[in-house]
Amino acid sequence: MDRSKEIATDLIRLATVLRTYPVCSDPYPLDAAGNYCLSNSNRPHWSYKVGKISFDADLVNGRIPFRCTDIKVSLSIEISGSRDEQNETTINPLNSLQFDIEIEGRVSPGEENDPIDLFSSWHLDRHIYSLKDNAPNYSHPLYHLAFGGVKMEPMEKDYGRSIILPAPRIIHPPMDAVLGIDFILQNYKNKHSIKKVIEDSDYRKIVKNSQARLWKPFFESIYSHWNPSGFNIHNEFSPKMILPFYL
Amino acid sequence: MPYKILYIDDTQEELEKGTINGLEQGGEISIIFSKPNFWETQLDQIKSTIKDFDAIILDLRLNEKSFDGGANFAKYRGSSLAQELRTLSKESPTLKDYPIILVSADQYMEESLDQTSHDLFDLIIKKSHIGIKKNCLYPELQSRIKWLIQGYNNLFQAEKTPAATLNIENLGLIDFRFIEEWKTQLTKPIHVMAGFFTKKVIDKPSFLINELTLSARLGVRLDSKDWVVLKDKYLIDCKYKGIFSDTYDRWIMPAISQWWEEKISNNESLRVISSSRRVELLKDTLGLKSLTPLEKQGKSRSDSFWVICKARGYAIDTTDGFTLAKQEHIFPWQEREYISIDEALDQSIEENWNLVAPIEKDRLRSLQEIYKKSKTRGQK
Amino acid sequence: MDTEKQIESISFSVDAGLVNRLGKELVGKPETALSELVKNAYDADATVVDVIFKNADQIGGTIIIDDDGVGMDLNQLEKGFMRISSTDKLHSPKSKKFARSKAGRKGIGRFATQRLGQSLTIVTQTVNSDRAIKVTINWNDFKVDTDISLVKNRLEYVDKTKSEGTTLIIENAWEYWSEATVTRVYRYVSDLFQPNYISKKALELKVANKVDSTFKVSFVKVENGQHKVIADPNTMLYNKALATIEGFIDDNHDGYCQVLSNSLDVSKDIIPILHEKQYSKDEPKSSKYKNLSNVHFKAYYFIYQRDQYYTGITKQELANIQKLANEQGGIKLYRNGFRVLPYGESNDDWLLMDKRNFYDSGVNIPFGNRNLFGFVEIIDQKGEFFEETASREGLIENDAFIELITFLNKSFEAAKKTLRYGVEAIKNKIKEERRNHDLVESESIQTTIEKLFALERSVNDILDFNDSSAGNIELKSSALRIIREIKADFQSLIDELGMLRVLASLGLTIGEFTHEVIQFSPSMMGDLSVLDNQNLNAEGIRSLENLRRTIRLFTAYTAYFNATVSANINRELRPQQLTKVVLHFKNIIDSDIQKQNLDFQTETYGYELFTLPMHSSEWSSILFNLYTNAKKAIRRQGVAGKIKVILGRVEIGSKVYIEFLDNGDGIPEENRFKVFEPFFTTSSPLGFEATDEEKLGGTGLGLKIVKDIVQTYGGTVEVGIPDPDYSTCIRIELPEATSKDKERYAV
Repeated sequence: MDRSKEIATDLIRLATVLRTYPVCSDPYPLDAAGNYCLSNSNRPHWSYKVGKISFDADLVNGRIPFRCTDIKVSLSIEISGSRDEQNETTINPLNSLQFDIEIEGRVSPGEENDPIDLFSSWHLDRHIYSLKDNAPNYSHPLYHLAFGGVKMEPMEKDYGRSIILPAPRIIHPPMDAVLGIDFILQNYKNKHSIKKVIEDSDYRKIVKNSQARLWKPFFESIYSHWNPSGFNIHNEFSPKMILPFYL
Repeated sequence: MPYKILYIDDTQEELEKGTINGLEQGGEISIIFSKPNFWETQLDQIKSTIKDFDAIILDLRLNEKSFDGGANFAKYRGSSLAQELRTLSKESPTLKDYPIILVSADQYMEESLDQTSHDLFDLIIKKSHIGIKKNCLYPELQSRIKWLIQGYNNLFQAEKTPAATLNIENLGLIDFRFIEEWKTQLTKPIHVMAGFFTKKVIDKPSFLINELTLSARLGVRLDSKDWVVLKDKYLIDCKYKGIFSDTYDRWIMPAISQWWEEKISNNESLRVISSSRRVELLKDTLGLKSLTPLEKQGKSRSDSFWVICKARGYAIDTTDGFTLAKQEHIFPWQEREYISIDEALDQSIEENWNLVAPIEKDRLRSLQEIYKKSKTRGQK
Repeated sequence: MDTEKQIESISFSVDAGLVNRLGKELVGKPETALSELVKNAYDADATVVDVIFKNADQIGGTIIIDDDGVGMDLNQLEKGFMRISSTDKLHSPKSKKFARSKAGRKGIGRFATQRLGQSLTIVTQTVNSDRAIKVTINWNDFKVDTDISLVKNRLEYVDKTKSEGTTLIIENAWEYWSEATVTRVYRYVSDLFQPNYISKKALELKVANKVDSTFKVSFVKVENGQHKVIADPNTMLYNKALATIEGFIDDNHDGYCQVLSNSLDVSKDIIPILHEKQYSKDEPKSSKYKNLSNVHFKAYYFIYQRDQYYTGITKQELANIQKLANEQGGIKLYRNGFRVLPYGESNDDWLLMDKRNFYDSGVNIPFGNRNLFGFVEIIDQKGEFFEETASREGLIENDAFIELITFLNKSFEAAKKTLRYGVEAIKNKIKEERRNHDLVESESIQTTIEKLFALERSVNDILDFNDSSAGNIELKSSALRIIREIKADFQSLIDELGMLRVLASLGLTIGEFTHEVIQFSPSMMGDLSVLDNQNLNAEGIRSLENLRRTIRLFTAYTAYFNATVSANINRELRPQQLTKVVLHFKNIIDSDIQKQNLDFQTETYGYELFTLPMHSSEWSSILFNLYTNAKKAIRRQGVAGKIKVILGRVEIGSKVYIEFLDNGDGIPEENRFKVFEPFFTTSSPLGFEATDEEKLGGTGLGLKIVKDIVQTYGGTVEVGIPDPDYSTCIRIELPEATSKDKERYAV
């Protein structure tokens, strides 16, 4: 089957799974994305956009501020990749990726004060190397997870006494909507709430598909540093681009 | 040529005259009134004259008063008559199909009708609302009835394909599941198609959105001077022009998304950016000067507005909203309806908005906890 | 006599007799006095208060109140206890050590002691002092016509009896103290209780001071050297539990649990709790908890609103425990003798019991945090199994912690199963009994009057049979008098019923009428709509506007009645949400509010204010009656009318309230209760000049009907205290819907 169709079907099936179990109050953005992906059969790449799909985070110990509540974790993603199955060369599975996780919360600082809004965000970026780049100023792994970002910059938001820098850029395998949603469920909801979802066989199949599409080439490239002859890696997806720290 | 509507009711003392006057004013509707008759007689009457009518209005309780001033009562209700009429339409598809409107003096009429009865009618109105409630004033009613009749006519004449009925250039924009469903609907009697389309696509948020939702998504206040230019000129290609598109404006959401990507910004996602950013981009690319961005209302956190609070009518982001109950089985191409946090905490409208979806109940409770100090009373 | 002495200023002095008077007037019953002293100890950060009664079942006994609070030094004694009406509580509304909200009433303490007995000895010491202070006071010294500053109370320094705390010894008690009275005092202070579950073993391991606030009171009787506990947390709470669930994990990492109950028939067997975990791929499933040992838990289990399941508990006691459970219920966690927060706090659900309880159906065995008072204690001296989080709130969720949660949940599941059998058995038994009882009831077919006559005869017979001593004759005449009064009450009830029947049939007629009127509405509005579009002159436009407004009012009124009548047809009981009820009412009377130019406001304090299941139509009656009365009062007063409705919740007793206020002519103090009596009206007899409204108004039954409705549901209605700017307040309190009610009716 054409890759675009596979991916679209997975998105739609994931939306159905999310409707079956009470983990997501509105999976519509996923349905819309699935449909969009399906309808773009003429383009050279597969692509889709997920507007903002939100999940309620379970309250855990160790959260700061301690009394924060009504926490929503939302995923917005724009992504595209090549449609061809590459068998001989390992290439970058994605052409573009904009992956944002927004976390919104609320806390009541005291008996007399109004609750205040809280905000933080993560993004998983694909570093775009331009031809002019000789050596970047700071090391940018090709795919990295970073805290903060454009959404956190506006001055009106108050971060207490935290300091937020664009570093570190932590290397992380690329994620699409499926893996992004799995990331959120596994990190922001407690095991009891998601047990049935992650044991669902459809869900597991969908996640596995995405891992195969995105993580297999990624880890192949990383490993190829230690066994260069065993793999045929495209030079724009070299291990040193993924992990600049490699010596 | 005015539309002809048959109105069947067992009113006494010629009480129907005022209602008829109200509906007929302006000359575009003409009512033919009739008291109910015995079942067989009534059916025959309708069957023989129906080709002259464009719609039928029925009272629910036709069996309460005698129809000839004597001892003769109709023994059936409006819903039974409607059922029979719909069955007849199904059996003879060449016979015209038409909107049926139900009126009743019952307070709890809607609750006492089951779902299948609901499906028989294109419009259900309480007599106590006619001329009094905002969306039931006579001019409104007239528009709605005409809209239904025109829609039925268009459907009748159109080729029964999605392309012909929806009149959308790029059908690929629309969710393929809707297209499949609509194809199936197009094989059914016209009143079934019409009921499906008006109730599930036009009256509820779906891939067609109304002006309020459009304003929320573009982040622009409706009273901005350039709003009309924006929606009527620049978005003209995104406007819906298929069946049932007159009277109530709708825009095609996937077309709006595409327009945004192509004409306004390719790398800033409409969904995620704030309303002020959206307005900034619109002003820059289109050269419009008088667009004012929407602002957060009440306890909202986010200004990436997307939906409208069903109770209070203002724009909110979905993360600041609560999904309503009874939406677990909507179609995948239908969007969920929301109410704002302020409404969930302090109900201001009488309908059952306080039934938020079960999955949202814990969240509502934790918000009540956090806002409870504003609800403590000082000492007397 | 030097009458011309140079006096430049003069101060107030206080007559010592005031002390006695204040004591008697400020503190009513001795139970109140004693509970105040316990509250003072609570405010002084005590963790244990012992109240000992020596020879107190006669007048003249001794009461000792001994606490381990912070005590007083000389300065605090002088400025606090010995200064009448001191401002201490004003300055520090929360206690020093544990930040408790103060429970005692301002400045009552010393008078409470005076209320209880003739003499008071205080022995108090603080942690920093070397010696204790002892003050002896004899209240008889405070005679009338003596300046209070001249009454000297002996003060001496003695050896400390403990590190810190105060002991009050009250001798020559004015009253005697029965066990029932003492138990009552316990109940007054029972909501201060904060359990301390630390075992002796753990106490031995502790090094630092206690950081956790706990509080308990014990009431003990000493007679002939014998100590007998009258009331303490054991007798009043723990021993009353429906069942206790206890379990442990031993040194071999095996887990066990046991359920014991005095009321239910449950098996006492010790149940092994198997872990069933596969620690690694090659091993089979292990039944042990490899990361745990020396774990002990115990929980006292309660099911509320089912006092019939228990042996030896009253409805009131169970209700009090339920109230206490809201704050103190749950399973607390202790590690090496320290309490670990926030586990077991009132809003914490670390074992996900509330969550599971919510989803489980068939709640014969409700198992939320509020059904249990309990603790789990882990001894982990070397800190090898558990670790605290960086923020010091809670423990890191490592393997040991997860195993702990697993063990507890499995134990509770096993306990639930055991309890289920016991509860089922009792339920069946109760059902049987009720069936038999009902059978007996249906046999009697006498009317009430006949029964009363029969009673009268029986009383006559019984008392004639015995001797005719003076005491007996008195008994007989008082019994007969009571019966006569009952007959009179019954007769007036019948009269009232007759009047209500008349009103009821009138109401039904109105209902029919309004239903018909609905048919008129679309017709009128239709013609109005046509007129709207005609070219009228100014006069015509004015008239049209007026007509439209009048018709709107007309339809609004009839819509209101229509709604009420239709609602009456539906006899279903449902929990009523007050905000919705008021919103509905306000929408209906909206046109009337506009016409009367009334300022109508609503204030809501709290969320989800649901009453117990009621008929919705009865709310229309209540609100309409109150509204009508308010309008009349406003008219009599001749002011711009203001009406306010206030909704809220009463925490104590789980009630919701609605207050209806107006700024009319008010209700005089002496009529506070009379206004609720049937046919009471202050309207003077009407003359010919009386307006129609005055003639029609005042059947005198409005508030009586409101009272009847409210009382049927176990609520209360009274004349309350109006807010500023308002002159009348009618306050209605009704029981709140239970969570079970809310579930059943899906609200």
